[in-house]
Amino acid sequence: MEKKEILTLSAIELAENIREQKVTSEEAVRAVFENIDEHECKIHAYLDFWKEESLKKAREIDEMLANRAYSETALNPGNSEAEGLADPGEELPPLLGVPVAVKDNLMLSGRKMTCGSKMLQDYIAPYSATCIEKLEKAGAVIIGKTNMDEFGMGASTEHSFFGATLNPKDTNRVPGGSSGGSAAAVAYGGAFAALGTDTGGSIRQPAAFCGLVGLRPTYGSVSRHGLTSFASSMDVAGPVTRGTRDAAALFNIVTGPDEKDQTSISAPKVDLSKMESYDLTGKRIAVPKQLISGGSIENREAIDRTSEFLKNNGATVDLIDMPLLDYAVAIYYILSSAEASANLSRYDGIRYGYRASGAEDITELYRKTRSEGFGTEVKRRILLGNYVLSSEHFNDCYRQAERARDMLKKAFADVFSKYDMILCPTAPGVAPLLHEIDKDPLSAYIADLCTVPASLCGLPAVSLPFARKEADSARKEEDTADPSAKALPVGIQLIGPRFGEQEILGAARFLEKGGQKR
Amino acid sequence: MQSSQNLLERIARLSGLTLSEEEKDILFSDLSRIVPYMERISELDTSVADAVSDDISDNEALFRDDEEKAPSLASEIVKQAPQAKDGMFHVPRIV
Repeated sequence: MEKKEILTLSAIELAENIREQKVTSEEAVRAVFENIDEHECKIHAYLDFWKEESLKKAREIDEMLANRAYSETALNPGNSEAEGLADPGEELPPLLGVPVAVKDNLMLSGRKMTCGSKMLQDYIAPYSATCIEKLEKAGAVIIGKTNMDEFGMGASTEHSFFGATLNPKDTNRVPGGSSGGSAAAVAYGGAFAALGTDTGGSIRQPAAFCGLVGLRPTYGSVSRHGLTSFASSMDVAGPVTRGTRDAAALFNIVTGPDEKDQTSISAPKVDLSKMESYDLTGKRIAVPKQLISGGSIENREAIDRTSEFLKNNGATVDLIDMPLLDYAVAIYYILSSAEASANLSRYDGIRYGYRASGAEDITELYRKTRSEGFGTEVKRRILLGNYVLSSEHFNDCYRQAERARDMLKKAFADVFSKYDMILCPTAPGVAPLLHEIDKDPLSAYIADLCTVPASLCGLPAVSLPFARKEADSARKEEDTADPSAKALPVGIQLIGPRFGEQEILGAARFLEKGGQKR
Repeated sequence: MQSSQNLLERIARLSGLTLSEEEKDILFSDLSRIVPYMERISELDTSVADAVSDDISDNEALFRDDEEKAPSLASEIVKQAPQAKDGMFHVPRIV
C-alpha cells in the first residue's frame, strides 16, 4: 500500500490492515515519520519521539505476524512483568502495530516526562501510567510524547517551556490546549491517534480547533495512575482521533478500574456495532441557552444546522435554561486552581525535578526552585489557588464553589432525567491567532465556558468537527470579523450522563456519517 | 479582592514563590480582574447544596490489600533527585 493510502486509514482500519498483513506496521511507522520529518520543524507537536525504536518494534510485530509466533518475551524484551500482546491462536490485540502519540504528562517508563515545564525538563518516568500500559498491551507502537501547556494549564499550547505548537490547519493560529501537541500531531498525520488529558476541556477544545474528535471520558473511567496531577477531581485521560470509531476503540482500550487509582471505576465499554446502528428516533436533546449565547457566527451556524439535522432524523431538540452555567467558569477556576496549588506544592527541588542553585537555606531553596521552575500561567493558578484557600477566603470562595458545584451536578442530573444528551459548541469560536490568548487571561478563562461544566460534573463529553460545506463558506465577508476563519474547523460537543459514552458516541457517529447531508 | 500589592506578596509567600517586580505587575493586574470575576459566586444562594469536598465523583472508593506487589522503585526514584547521597535525598541545612 502506498504511503498516501496508508495515511487515509483510521487507526482501527490500519490495525485491521496490519492484522490481515495488507500493510506492515513498519510501513505505517515510516509513513508517520515521513510526515514528522516534513512538518515537525514548523508545527512542533512533539517534545520527544524515537524513530529507530518505533521501527524496531514495528518490525518485531510484522515478523511475528508473518510467523504467527507470538511470544511475550519477544515483544517485551527484558520485561518479564508485562503481559504479552497475544498468545498464538488468541485474538490479536486491537491496535497491533498502530503508531500512537501520548501527551507529555503521562508517564512512559524510561522516557522523559516534562509536562511542558522547566521544572521537569530532565525527569525520566520510573514507571508507566496505567492507560499507557493498556495502550501498549493493545499493541500500539508509542512513537513520541506531545507538547502541552505547562502542567495542563492553558488553552493554546503556547504556555509550554519548550515553545508553542502551531495549528496545522493554519499556522498563524494556536492548536488549542492543553493537549495541543496531541491534536496537532494527529491533524498533520504525525500519528494515527493520540492520548490527551482533559481537566477543563484540554482534549475537546484542541480537537475542535484541529478538526478532530476528542473524547473526555466519564471521570474515573480511565485510571489517573501515572497522569501528572493538576486538578485531581477533574483530571482524566482520553483519546484525540480523526474519527468517532477510533475514539470509541481507544476509550475501550484505556478504560477500566485500577487499584492504583482509588477513584477509578468500572465503566461500560462502547459497542462499536451498536454505535454504527445508532438511531436518533425519539432521542431528546437539550441545548442550554447559556452555552450558545455570545459565540461566533461559525458556532451559531454549527449548532443551528446540527439541531436541524438531528430533528430531521427523528430527535427532538429543546433550548433549555440552566442559569447556574453562568457561574461555571468561576466555579471551575476556583476549584481547579485550589487543587493545582496543593498538587504542585510537591515541586520543591528536593526529591525530583529542577533545583535552583545558590540557595542558602531550605526555605530559599523552595522559593527559588519554584520561582525559576514554573512559568507565569502556572504561577497565576497557584496564586489564585492559595488565595481561595487562604483562611479569609476559604468559606466565601472555596467552600462556596464546592457547594455551587454540587448544585450544578444536581442541575445536570435533572436535565438528564428528561434528555438523553446535551448539544453545545466546544469553544466560543475557531482557533485564535497566536499570542491572542496571552493578552487577556480572564477572557481566556471565560472561553472555557462550554467545556468546564462536564469537567465539574464528571460527565463524558465528545467534541467532533462540524462538517461545513463549501457553500457555507460563501458567506459575506462582513458576517465575520475574521475572513480567514471561514475555512477553519468548528467543533460541536455532545455531553452525556455519567457512563453515557455509548449514547454520545452513537450520536456523534450518526452526525459524522451524516456530515455530507447537512 | 483586597487590591493591594501586600496581599499579593502574602499569597506569593504562602505559595512558596518569590515574584520579580515585572511578574508582580503582570500578576497583580491579571488577578485584580480574575478574582472579582471568581468572587461573583458569592451571589449564589447555595444553602440547598451539600458540602461536597469529600464527594468528588460519586464513585465508590476502590481499595486494595496492603501488600507490596511491584518491586520497589525506591532506587529509581532516588536517581531522579537533584542531589542524593547513600540512597537519600541531599538537602541544604535545615536547622
